[in-house]
Amino acid sequence: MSTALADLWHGFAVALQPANLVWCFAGVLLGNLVGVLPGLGVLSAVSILLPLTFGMKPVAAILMLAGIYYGSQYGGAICSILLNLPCHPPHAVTCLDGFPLTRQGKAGTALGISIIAACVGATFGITEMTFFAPVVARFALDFGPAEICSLMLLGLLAGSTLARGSPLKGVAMTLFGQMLGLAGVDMNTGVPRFTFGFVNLYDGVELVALALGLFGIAEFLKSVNRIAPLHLGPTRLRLRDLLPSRAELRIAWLPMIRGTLVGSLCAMVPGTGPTIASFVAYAAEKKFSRTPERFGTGMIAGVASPEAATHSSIQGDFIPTMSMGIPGDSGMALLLGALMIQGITPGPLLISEHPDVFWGLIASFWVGNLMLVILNVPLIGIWVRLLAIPYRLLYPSAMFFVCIGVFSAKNSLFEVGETLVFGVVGYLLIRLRFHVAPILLGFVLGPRIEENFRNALAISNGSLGIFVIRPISAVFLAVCLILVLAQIYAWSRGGVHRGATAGRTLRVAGHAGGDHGGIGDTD
Amino acid sequence: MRGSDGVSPGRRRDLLSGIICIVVGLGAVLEASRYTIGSLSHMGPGFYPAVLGALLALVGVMITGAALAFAPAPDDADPLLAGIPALAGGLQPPGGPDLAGGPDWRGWFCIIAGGVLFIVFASLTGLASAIFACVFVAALGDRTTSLRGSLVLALCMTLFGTVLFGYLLRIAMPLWQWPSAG
Repeated sequence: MSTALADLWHGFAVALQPANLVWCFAGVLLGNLVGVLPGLGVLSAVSILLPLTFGMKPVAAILMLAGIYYGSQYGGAICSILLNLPCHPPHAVTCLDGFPLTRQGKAGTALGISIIAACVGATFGITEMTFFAPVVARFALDFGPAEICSLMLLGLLAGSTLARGSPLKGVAMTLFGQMLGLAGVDMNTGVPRFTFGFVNLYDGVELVALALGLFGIAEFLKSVNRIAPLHLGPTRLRLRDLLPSRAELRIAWLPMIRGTLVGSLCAMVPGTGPTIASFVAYAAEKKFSRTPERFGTGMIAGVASPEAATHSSIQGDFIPTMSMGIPGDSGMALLLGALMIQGITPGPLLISEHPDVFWGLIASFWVGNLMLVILNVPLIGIWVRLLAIPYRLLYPSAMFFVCIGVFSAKNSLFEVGETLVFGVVGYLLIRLRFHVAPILLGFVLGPRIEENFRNALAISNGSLGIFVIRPISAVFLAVCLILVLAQIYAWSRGGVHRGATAGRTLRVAGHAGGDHGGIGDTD
Repeated sequence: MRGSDGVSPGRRRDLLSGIICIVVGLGAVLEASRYTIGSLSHMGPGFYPAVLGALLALVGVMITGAALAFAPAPDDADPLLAGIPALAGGLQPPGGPDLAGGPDWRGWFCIIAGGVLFIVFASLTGLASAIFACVFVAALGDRTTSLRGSLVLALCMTLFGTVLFGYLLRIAMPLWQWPSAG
């Protein structure tokens, strides 16, 4: 415990270096900004800005990208509370009670509560990571190829089935992503695979091209001419409106803590990101409440709890990513990919080999979240006005950012073409109701699964028994089996209504709403 | 979209999804068989791709089978978000929810053309012209944008882009070059 604190102290020394401080600030500010803009999701934000970090040192790059990732969550609630538009899935549930509060003229209170809840949730998540991640990493150090392989399989399975949409289609997407990940010259034998004669594909599909195709171009194709310009009512926010009264805080603090706990639990389960966390938190809050029937009419608890859950889950998601190198969702996969571009191999050794990166990152979480809270109070008026930027100006501008970004990844125009192809493919998949996010998860993990699978079977002389004989690996596989069986059970019970199991049990309101906008539909 | 088109589009979509998975999966197996497959203890480069392809084809069979055997859910877009009434009207213009709307050829064409023009102009005449062409054409994809609006936006972005990427970040692309050089 004391070593963790000493290391954290070292981390602060890294994070507070002027250059790193500036990049962290740039990250949270850009993230916050993009998080507010309707029509751009978190993953689009991280992928569009990823190329900017190529020239940076690894620490600065990861601080900035992580800042974009959690910073964007601070903006997401604004859209929900003020406009009743679930622009960003993790904050969709905040609409239910946030917008009624706005109608009652208490928009400031709702926003203030959401900022405080974010802060509480994030604080807990970061503390958890500080003490928990090194322990997990130490445990994971003993993993051989068999354990790593089973663990990654578990991560992929959970990531594709527990997330949203049809589980089968999710699995299909991770398989497709792994194939894309294998494209290029095989490291062991030098045979080019899935290159179809393109020499440019010999060193593999470019991560940036894939991410920008799926989360940039495909999103533009989906949203063009479909996002109506928003007409903001005369919402005027004064600074002191943001400060909740003492009575309101008294109502909010218990829900915040419950939400935080739900969020950190969801972060432990791979594949259940912030969206599921916020829905569980809302449902739980309704159960706990003495007046469940009043939810949906502007309950402060209905804002505080899911917001806290989202933020604690976002921070908690970093634990498996940074301590074992297993990303819990596609956002984490992208950050992991960024680390690999910087030449850092993720895994249990990361903490000991690159303490600057790990502890600097944690320290930057503290700094960044503090910045976000301070930033959001005075800037909220500007954010609100940004909501009105029409999509017709937004997407063409983002287009050239995408093109230049992909170009600068390898200084080659071939990758720009690659992005366009992935954009079209991604859009077709979206129209067929596939969720494209698991592709990224498969893409990042695919080559590492193959390598570990190969090594494990080379050790065991070709006997598949190695995966069940080694106890830790067997446990991971057993959990995989439970996941599959649970899906089959839920599916057979659900009868004709197929869909995410989590979704059905968490269905919040009785309304069977129509199709959803899915703007920034990315986790 | 609920109620207006029954369940058959959902079933057709799932059938198509399943068949695509089967085709891609079998294609991957076929391609992988051209590399050495090897054995479990000495895996060749084709082993894992073949496994992935076979699994994808299997999942495709399951998706197809489920689509044939069961009526698809009337609204399988996202059960998580389906519970929120705000989504019913939400972000989409009335009468055109996102995925159910008809084809939007103008938007699609302009966005893809913007990207293609970026490649063409970047290799012929350099960064500034590429940004201009890309933004101008992509912007025309929006039905509410006027020619003049796109022009202004493209000029602004060209200025902004050349300053940011050309002068500040110095990416490895000439700002302007004469086509003969390329």
